[in-house]
Amino acid sequence: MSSRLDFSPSLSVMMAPMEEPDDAVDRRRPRSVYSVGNEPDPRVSLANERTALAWMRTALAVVAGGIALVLLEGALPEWRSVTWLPVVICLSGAFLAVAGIVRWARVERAVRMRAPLPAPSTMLFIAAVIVLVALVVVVELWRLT
Amino acid sequence: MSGPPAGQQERTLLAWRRTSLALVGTSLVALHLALTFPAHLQSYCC
Repeated sequence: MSSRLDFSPSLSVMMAPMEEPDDAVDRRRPRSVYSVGNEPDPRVSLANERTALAWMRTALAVVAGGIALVLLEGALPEWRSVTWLPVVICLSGAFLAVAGIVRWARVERAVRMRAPLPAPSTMLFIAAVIVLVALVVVVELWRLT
Repeated sequence: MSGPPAGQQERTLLAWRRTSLALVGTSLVALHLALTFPAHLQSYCC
C-alpha cells in the first residue's frame, strides 16, 4: 500500500480491525452498524463507501443547481416568479446527503447480517425532484418567451 | 466489484478526492453568490 493512503481516516479505520486480535475492542461508529453481524469482505465495505460518496456528490450537485438558479435570478430580474424553487432544490440536496448516510448504514448492516440489500427507494424522490424542476423551468421559459 | 482490496482502496480514495473537490467547488459558487448578489439573497429571508 502506498504511503498516501495512510491520510484517509476512513480507510485506516476500516482495515484496522483485520490486523487486530479477535478480542480487541471494536471502537468504530455507529454502533448500530458495527455491533451486528460478521466482518464482511473489505471490498464490499469499500464499494458501499464509494456509493455513499456518490450520494454525497449527487447532493452537492443538487445544492449547486439551487445556487445556480439563485445566480440566474440575480442576473435575470424577469426570472422572479419561481423564487421558491432554489429553496426546494437546496433542501432536496440536504435530504439526499442524509439519505446517502442512512442508505450506507442500512446496506452495511445488511451486508454484515448476510441479509438482502434494501431497495433504493430514494431514487423515486430524486426522479420526482428532477421532474418537478424540469417542469417548472420549462413552464417559466415558455412564460418568458 | 473486482480486484484486490488495495485497488479498491485506491478507487475509494479517488472517490473521497472527487467528493472533496465537489464540496470545495460548491462552496466557492456559494461564496461567489453571496458576494455578487447580497441584496438578492436578503430577499429570501426578509
